[in-house]
Amino acid sequence: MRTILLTFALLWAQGSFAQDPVVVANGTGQTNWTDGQIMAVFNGERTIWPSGLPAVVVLPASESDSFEKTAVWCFDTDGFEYQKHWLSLVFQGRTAPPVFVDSEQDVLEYVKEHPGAIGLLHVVEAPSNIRLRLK
Amino acid sequence: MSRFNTLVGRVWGPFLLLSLAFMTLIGVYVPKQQRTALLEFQRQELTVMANTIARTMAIAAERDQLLDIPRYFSGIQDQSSIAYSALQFDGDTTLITSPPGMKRTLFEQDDPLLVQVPFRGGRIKGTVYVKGSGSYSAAQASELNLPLQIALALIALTVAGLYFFLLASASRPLVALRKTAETLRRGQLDQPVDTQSQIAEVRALNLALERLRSGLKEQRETNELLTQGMEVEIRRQTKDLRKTLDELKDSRNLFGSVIESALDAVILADGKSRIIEWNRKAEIIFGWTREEAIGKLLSDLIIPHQHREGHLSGMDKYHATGHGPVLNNTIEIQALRRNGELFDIELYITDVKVDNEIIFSSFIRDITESKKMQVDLDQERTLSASLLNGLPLMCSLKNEDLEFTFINDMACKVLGRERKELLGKQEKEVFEEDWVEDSIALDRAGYEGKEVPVRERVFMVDGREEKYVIGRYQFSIGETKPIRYLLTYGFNVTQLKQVQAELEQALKAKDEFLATVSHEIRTPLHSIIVLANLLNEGDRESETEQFAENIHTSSQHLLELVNDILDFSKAEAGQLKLNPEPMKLDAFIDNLNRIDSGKRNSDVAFQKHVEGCEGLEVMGDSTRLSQVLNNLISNAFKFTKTGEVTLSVACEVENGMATTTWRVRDTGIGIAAEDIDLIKEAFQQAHSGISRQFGGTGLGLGIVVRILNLMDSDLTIESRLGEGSEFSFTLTLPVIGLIPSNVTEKPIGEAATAGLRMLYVEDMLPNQMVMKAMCKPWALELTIVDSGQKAIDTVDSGTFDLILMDIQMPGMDGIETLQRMRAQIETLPPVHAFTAHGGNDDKDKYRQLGFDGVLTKPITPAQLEQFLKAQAHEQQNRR
Repeated sequence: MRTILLTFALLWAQGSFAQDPVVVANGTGQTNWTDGQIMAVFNGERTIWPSGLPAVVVLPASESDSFEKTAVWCFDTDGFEYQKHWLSLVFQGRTAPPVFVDSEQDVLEYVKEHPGAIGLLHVVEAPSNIRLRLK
Repeated sequence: MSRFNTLVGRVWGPFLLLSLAFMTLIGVYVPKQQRTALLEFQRQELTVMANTIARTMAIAAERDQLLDIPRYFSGIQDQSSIAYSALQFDGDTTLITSPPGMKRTLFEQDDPLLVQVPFRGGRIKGTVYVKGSGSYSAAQASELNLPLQIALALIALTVAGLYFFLLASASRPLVALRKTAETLRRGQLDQPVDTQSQIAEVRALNLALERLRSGLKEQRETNELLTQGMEVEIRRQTKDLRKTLDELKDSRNLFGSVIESALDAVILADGKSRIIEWNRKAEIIFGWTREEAIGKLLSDLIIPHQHREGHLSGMDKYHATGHGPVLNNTIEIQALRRNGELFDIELYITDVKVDNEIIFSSFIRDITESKKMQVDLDQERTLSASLLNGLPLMCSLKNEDLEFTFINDMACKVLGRERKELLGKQEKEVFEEDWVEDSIALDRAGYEGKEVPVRERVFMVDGREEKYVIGRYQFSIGETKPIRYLLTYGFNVTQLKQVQAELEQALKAKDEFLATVSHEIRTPLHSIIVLANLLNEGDRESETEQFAENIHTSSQHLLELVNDILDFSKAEAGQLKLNPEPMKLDAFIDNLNRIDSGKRNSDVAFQKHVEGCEGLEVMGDSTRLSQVLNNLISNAFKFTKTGEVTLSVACEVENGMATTTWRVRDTGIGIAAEDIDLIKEAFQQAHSGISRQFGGTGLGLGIVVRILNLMDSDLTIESRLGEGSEFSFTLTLPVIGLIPSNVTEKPIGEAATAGLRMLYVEDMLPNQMVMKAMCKPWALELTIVDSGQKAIDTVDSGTFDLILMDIQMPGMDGIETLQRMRAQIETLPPVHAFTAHGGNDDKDKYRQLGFDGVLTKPITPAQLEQFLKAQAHEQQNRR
């Protein structure tokens, strides 16, 4: 019973963790990150990783729910405003444009294959080797 | 402009203008057209670029192909035609610029190189702005025009080279020619002109210049000679001119100094009466400072309101005619001080023309004080002249030339000349009388300060001869420069001489009177003294009666003499007064008896004739009238040896007044006609022998005349020598009663004096003895005390019937004694003053002091007896 209860608790906890997005990145050169540091990358304010690689933000299509969630998580706004933000940055030449893919799975794949890429997963599970631990 | 009007300019100018026009066409117009075309091209290019960006933004927004944006931008941003760009999303206010941070205003201005294009991609809409570079088209134009500009530079260099060539070949000889001319003009004539020029025209000009130079040089040498002479002359004239200027400057300084230090106010004014000079004295007199006065109008500053109109009309007249009523004349007028006070000035104005400008010079003196002094002096002179004219003596002043400078009214009158006939003239010019020569000599001596004697001169004044004493003395006026005058004065001594003569006569008469009085006093005194001594010698019993009679007569004579002198002195002092009282004429005339001088002269009878006076009682001073008549009767008997003396009295009554005429006629020696008036005067007798022969002082008739004058009457004397005289006078007396003739009035009451108790207060022993002797026969109870205090101690009520009180006693006098008696004793008997002060005034005074009556010393036994009987009678009546 005790085991049952413990398992149930873990499942509940896992279910609860499944609600939080997972940051995945490749070749950042640093393991532990703060939320703010990661958000600065997603807002185009930080463009170079400690490893020296250019930071490439990988986003799902602007029409998707994941994009909306990413906008909320990163920008605390909706996808429309997040898109205008990135248009402005690119128009001004301040940073390289993000890479848009069709889905979260594509995000995961792109991150796996491209060093310096970073993505945010809400639904799709990510292997631990590319997961970033946030403090 | 002159720079282009040169030979080079004329040749080079048209070519230069054509060159400039060509270069302007190529260098300005063509590049401008090119720049316009380039600008339009750039704008089209910008539009294409903006459209491309907008399309890229739309695709990026719709397809998430943001990578195309930098890709495309990397292509266009390399082009220099774009300066910057911007992006704005619909609904946002933020303008996103590239490069970032550009101001919004750069994208809002109206600029042909600013292009904006809208875009829309998916949900996103916005606008793209592209701004072209302004320097892009200019750079393009420069690049295009570079060959053209090089060509223009070459052309400019060619033109410049041509210019310098022309300048060197054509203008330089001309410039050298000009410099040569300049050298000549500056007078540098020693250097010959270069005549070797290769240009023929220039050479010809240089030859001409050389001829000109040599001619000028000769002329200059000649001029130098002339100049040297002129310089000497100019130096001399300059020296003279400087000297003249120095003198003028000194003169101006002197003039200014004189004006400034002038004692009078000096005011200069121009032709419009505007003040241009105002000296220190003017500041003091008028109260305006020089700075305040300069530039002001005279009429506004110093001319009183009432004179301003006259001043203006005078100025108008001067400008019209050149003449002014006050010019070059000293006038006295009033002026105005700063404080508004009007004051008198002496004004002299003169005009002078300086550089066709009229200058009025006014010299003004404040004469307020001098005028006041003049008025005071005039008043003083008038006063002095009035005083001198009013003096009752002749008075005149003469100057150094002995000319009359003043002569008073009296002198004019005495000299018989008008003042104008005398003033300014010497005596010898006016008078021809004998005294003139002596007078001039005395005047001269007097003027020199010598002591000169006075002169008596006789002048005919109003037909009468008048005698003047003329004196002179010199005096001076002024201290620093004294002016000497001779004062001549003359006193009218006519009356003085007359008075002197009268005084001398009076003194002579008085001397005679004194001698007479002395004789008259000594004579009876001698008799009294000698006979009194003889009476004491004994063995003279047989002669006692004769001696006593003689002593009595001498004493009586002495008393009369003393009374006469006293009365006369009173009359002279104006103290002789009448004391009217009722008097019965019958009784009065009856009491008038003959009065022999000495022993009774039986050869002279005394007759009385009375007519119309019976029973009349009138108011009159019986005592003084009795004195008059006794005097006349006494004189009549004195001067009559045989014949008679008659007293006639006639009375007429009318309207209550009795006119009484009294005549005393004798058959004596008579009086010469020329002596009749003389004997009325005091101390006068017809001649001195009268006194020696008949005695007397001459006072008698003098007293008679004065008493009668008091009674409004006068003494009339009619006489013939050797035949007799008549002295008469008339008195008008008020009638107060008429007593019938058949009524005989009872005589005043008398009673026996025996037993009458009388106290006699007398300090003098002789008088006490006399009183005792006189009273002895009448059996009085006489008590005598010698002082007032003893009298008071002695008197008691009812003790005495009568008191006789001497007045003048040592210690307590009679008056004080009486007053104490009356204060201490309730009932006093009658108290009579017994005194030698027996005048009427004295009697009145003693009565007012409380005395019941007054007895006058000396008193005869008969008078005393009559008094005592009357007192005894009254005593009986009181009982």
